[in-house]
Amino acid sequence: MSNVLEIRGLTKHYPVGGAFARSLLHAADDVSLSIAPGETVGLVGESGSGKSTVGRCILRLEEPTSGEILLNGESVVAATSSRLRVMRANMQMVFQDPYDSLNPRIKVGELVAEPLWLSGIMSRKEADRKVAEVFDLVHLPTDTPLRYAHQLSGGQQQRVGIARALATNPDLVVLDEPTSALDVSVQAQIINLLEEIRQRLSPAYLFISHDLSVVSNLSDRVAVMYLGQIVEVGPTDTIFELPGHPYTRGLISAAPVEHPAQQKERLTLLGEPTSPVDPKPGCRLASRCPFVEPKCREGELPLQEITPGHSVRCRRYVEEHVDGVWDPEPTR
Amino acid sequence: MAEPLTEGTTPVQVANRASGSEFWYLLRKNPVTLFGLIVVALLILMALFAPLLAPYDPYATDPRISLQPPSQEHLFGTGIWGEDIFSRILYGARQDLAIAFGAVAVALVIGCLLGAVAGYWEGFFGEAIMRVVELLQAFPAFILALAIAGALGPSFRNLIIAIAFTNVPIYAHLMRVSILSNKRSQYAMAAIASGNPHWRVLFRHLLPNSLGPIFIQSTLQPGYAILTAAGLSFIGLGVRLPEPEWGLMVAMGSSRIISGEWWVSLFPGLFIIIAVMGFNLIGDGLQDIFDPHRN
Repeated sequence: MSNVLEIRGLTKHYPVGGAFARSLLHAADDVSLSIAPGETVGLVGESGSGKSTVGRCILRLEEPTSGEILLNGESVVAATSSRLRVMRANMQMVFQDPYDSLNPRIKVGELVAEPLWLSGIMSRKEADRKVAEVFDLVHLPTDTPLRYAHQLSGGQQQRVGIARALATNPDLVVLDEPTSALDVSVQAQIINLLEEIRQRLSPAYLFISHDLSVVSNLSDRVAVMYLGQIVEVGPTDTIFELPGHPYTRGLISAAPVEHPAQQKERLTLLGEPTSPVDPKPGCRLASRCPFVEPKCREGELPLQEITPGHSVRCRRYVEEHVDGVWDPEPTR
Repeated sequence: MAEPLTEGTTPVQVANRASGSEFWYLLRKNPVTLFGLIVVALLILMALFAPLLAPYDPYATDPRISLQPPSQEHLFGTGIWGEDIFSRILYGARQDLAIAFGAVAVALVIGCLLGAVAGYWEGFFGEAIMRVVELLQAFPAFILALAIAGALGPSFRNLIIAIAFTNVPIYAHLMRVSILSNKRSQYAMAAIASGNPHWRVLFRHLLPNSLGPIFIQSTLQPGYAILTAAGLSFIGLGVRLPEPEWGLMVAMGSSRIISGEWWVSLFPGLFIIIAVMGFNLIGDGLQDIFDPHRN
C-alpha cells in the first residue's frame, strides 16, 4: 500500500541578519518521514525545533527551501496554485490557537464550508447544507454555524477548527499542537474527539506536539525533532521503552510519571538549546549531551536504521548498542 | 526568531476587535468626542437643509445693500455685491462637505487598494507601490494639492482629485501595515489551507479585519480636506465664483478687513474652524477609544 504522505529531504532555511552578515536559520534540515493511510504519526520536539515548520511546509503554507513532499504520490512542492487548491481537499490542518485560527468577522459555518466548495468538491449551496453534518460530527450544537468565533468557548472553537479540517474528509490531517492552548479538561475532550473521528473516517494524522503523553496515547509511530533534524523515529512502544537517542531519553525522563510511587531515572540535558542559526557540523546535541565524545562533533550525522522502522541519529548509539540497549556512563 | 509567524495580538488587531456596544459605552464616557460628533452632524444637517434654512438666494446680488454689517435681516451681514453671507455659508457647507467627503472617499478607496496589495504581495511589487506612494508624500500636502489643482485647472471636480491625491499615502500606509499584521495570523494561514485563492484571502478574509485603523483615520481626514479645499479656493485654484465656498468667501473679504468690514471674512472663517475642529475632535476621540494601551 502506498503512503499518504512521503517527505524526502525536506529543508527549510530562513535568511536572518543584515545584508552583510548573511546567516541561515535551519528550521528544518533533511527531514524525511512517511505516513501510511490511516496511520497516526507523532512529531515531538521542544519549541523552536522546527516541527511546526515541517507541518506548514507539508501543506505548502510555507515554501520549502528544498526537498520533496508527495501526497498520495503527487508532488505538493511542484503543484501549480490551481492544482494545489484541489489537492488541499485531501490535506488539512488544525491550528494551535483556536481563536486566532478562526476569522473573527466570518460566521464559523461559512469558514467550515469554505474547503468544501473552494476545492470544487461541491457547489456552494451543497456545501452550506453539508456544514450541519460536519458540525454534528464534532458534536457542536446545530445553531453553531451561525455564530462568530468570539461567541464560542475555547473548546468549541477548536471543534470548529477540527470540523473545518475534516469537512472534505481528507486523507491527511496535520494537527499542529491542537490542544496546547486549551485547559486540561478540554484537552482530553479534543483528544477523544480526534480518536473518535479516526475510527469513523480513518484519516492519517500527523500529530505535532511537545507533550509526550498526548502523543503516546494517540500515535502509532513517533518522530522526535531537535533543532530542525529528526533525531529518532520509530514505533511508539519502541520509542518509549527503548529510546536510543540521548535527546529522546531526556524528553521521556522529563515527562511526569503517572503515579507518585513510580520512580524513574532522570536524564538531564545540560544548558539551553543551541542556536538553529548556522549550526556547527556534527551532532546538534553535542554541547548538551551528557554522553558526548569528540567524534560526535565531526562530519555529517545520518539517521541510521537500527531495526526495521526504528532509526536513530546518534553515532555512539549506533556503534555501541547491543540489541537496542545502550547504557553509557556520563562523560562529563 | 525560531517561529517566523508570530502569534499573539497586535494593537491593530485590538482596534479591529472592539465591539459595537462597547464602542457606544466608551463614547458616552468621552464627552469631547460626542461633542465633535454633534458638531459634524449639525453641519451635515445644515448642508442637507440649506434650501429650507437659507433666508435668501445665495447667488442673489443687490448693489444697493452691499457691505452691510450684521443685522436682523442679514444675520451675518452682506458682501461686496450685497449677497447674504448667512445664506451663502449654509450653501457653502454643501460645497465644503461634498469636497471633503468626496476627496476622502476617493483617497480611501485608492489608498486602501494600493496598501492592501502592497501589504499582501510584499517584495518587489509591494515595494514598488510604496515607493510611488512615498513620492507623493515627499511633497508637503498643500504644495502637492496646489500643483495638481493648478495643472488640472480650477473646478469642483479637480479640487476633489487634488485633495484625494494628498490623502492617498496615509491610507496606503495604514492599510499596508494592517494587512501585514493580519497576514501573519493563523486565520490567514487557515484561509489558504481551506483553498482560498490569493485574491479571496486578501479581500474576503484580511481586508474586513484591517479596516479599524482606516475607520479612525477617515474621521480625522475630512477636517484637513476642508482646510486644504478652503486654502486652494482662497488662492483661486479651487471652486470659482459665484459658487458659495467658505475659503473663497474668506478671500473675498480679505481686502475688506482693514477698511472695517470684518464680517465678510470672519463668519465663513469661523465655520471653517468649527468644521475642522469637529472632525478633529471625533478622530482624536476615536483614537483614544481604540487605543489598546488606554483600556
